[in-house]
Amino acid sequence: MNPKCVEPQETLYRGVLINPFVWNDETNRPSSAAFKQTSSLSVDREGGRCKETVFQSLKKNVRSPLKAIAWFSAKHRFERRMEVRPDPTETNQYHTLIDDNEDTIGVGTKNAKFLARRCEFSLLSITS
Amino acid sequence: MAYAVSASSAFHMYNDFFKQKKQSETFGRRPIIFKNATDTKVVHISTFDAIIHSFKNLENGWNGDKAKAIPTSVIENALMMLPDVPKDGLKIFPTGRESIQFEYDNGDKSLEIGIYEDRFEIALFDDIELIGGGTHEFTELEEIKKQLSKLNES
Repeated sequence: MNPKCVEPQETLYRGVLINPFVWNDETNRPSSAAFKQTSSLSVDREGGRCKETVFQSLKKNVRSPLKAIAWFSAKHRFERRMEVRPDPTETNQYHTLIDDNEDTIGVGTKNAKFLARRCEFSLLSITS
Repeated sequence: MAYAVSASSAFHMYNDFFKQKKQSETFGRRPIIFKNATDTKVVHISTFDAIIHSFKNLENGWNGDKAKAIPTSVIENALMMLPDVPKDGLKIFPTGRESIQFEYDNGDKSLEIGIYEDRFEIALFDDIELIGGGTHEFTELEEIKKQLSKLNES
């Protein structure tokens, strides 16, 4: 894992909360609301871990119950010129931040829609 | 079903509501009992109203990340706009941009109405491509109908 940059072949993960509900139950996908934020959006990079390990780590770090875990390829960063940068913390060395671009902090309407439509996801059981 | 509204009851009502997976079938209105020290009154609010009211209880960090609380004025704006939008297919979500999102999605196209303190923003998408919309003042609610008609165009 390169501590200074996220490589295009990496996968980025974000938990989608049960409450408040940001899941569109008709399309059975996360709403773009799950990815909109005025400040940089937190995700976890894969960092050479297996998916199950990433899931366990996310569930522990997010603390609130999750409806699903969504993931997408970091290569979209390059396609959409989004800013993706490692932001390791004391408790989470995989923590990563996403912005619309290098000049715009946070994730707005267009990129949130892109992430909501293009992400893959795994639905979690309430007890998991 | 009647609810006594306390500081957190709208939030619990919201939880109960989603546990029943009823956001897509919410045309009915449910009675709510408001109680305080001197008065008890029963009013009827729709489940959409209840969803919006529940956002009052979201504190900073509510999305497990750095989302800020939804400002009271945004909640009031959303409640004000609610009667003017079609309820069929309507989904309502809080966002991490201190806004409330009214969302319609027909699978291919989708329409998002982002409600802020001082404006609303419409975004019409064909899949991930932005094909319409704009930023409007609350006196321009007719723009919603225009964009909704485009959403339903084949």
